[in-house]
Amino acid sequence: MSRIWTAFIFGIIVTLAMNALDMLYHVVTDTAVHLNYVAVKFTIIFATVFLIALVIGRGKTPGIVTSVLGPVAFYFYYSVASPTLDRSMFTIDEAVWYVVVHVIALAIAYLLAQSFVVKQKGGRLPFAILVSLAALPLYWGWLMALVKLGGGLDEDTTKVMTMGAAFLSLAILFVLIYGATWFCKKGHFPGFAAGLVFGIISVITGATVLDAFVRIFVIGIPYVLAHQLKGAA
Amino acid sequence: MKAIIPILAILSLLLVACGQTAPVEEKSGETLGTADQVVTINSFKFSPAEVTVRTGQTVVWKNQDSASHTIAIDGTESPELFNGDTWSHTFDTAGTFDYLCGIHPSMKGTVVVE
Repeated sequence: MSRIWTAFIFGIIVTLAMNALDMLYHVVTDTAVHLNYVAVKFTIIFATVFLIALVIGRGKTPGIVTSVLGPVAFYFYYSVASPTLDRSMFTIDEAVWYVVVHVIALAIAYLLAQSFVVKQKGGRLPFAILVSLAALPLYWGWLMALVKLGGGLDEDTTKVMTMGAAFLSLAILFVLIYGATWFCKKGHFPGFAAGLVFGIISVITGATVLDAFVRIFVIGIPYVLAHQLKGAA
Repeated sequence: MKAIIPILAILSLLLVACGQTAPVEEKSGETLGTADQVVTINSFKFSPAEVTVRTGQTVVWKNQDSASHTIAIDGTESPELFNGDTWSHTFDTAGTFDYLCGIHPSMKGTVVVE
């Protein structure tokens, strides 16, 4: 596996997991999660993780640099992005304190990916936790996108997840992913199998076929990417 | 009840398919041999920067740095080495082999094979 590809998927997985932790923090503290805001944050954090993994490498020192630099870069963007942000809506991260929250979230995601999945410490459990966290923003983003596609406003998208729904979704994702690794240890296939079960559950509970189809990839894609990171060097 | 049958059939197929997947990808790299010379990597430096071995002997690189590194030498490149990882290369021909870290090209070293 080339170093560029490894850094790329490492960046995707770490950024998704970081965003999951951040989104959970938002719903726990009853602050809204906007689709545009998440997209911008994802882009900036991903660029930081990817470029540092590629140019400096991975490990303790690059992890610390990444965890600090990414949120600081995002904060600078956030502070000067008035022309592209509706300031009546996007007021959440104006406090410097949120940089600390993002640093902690990114450090946890980086540590989980690098120390437990890449270096394969701890077996299936940290792997399932990382993939569940990585799948959550995809699932959450998909639900928000459905609202937007249906003609909803930005404010409507913030209502797709409550704190209870977010943690319940994470728990379901974790059970499916951990179960898949338990029953079928090899290859990438278990991720899509877990995704299919997720899709079937959603159809039974009233989702459309398209919605169910997308959910296969909500779990399948992060599972496959994280699986490639196992022992990746 | 009828709707459950195709779901169970799909799940059964998935379980069967699980047994037919490709083996888990293993970390690539050369097999570790007996070290005739050991080069440690620390603070973005190879130490010692130059080692001398005889033909057929093996050099082992051990990463003790807090960042990952690679060894690009003799037309090959090691996998990304993290803290605690080692990689070895056996030299079958005499000569002077300059190498560097593929991530940090400013890190350079030399292996002299007699």
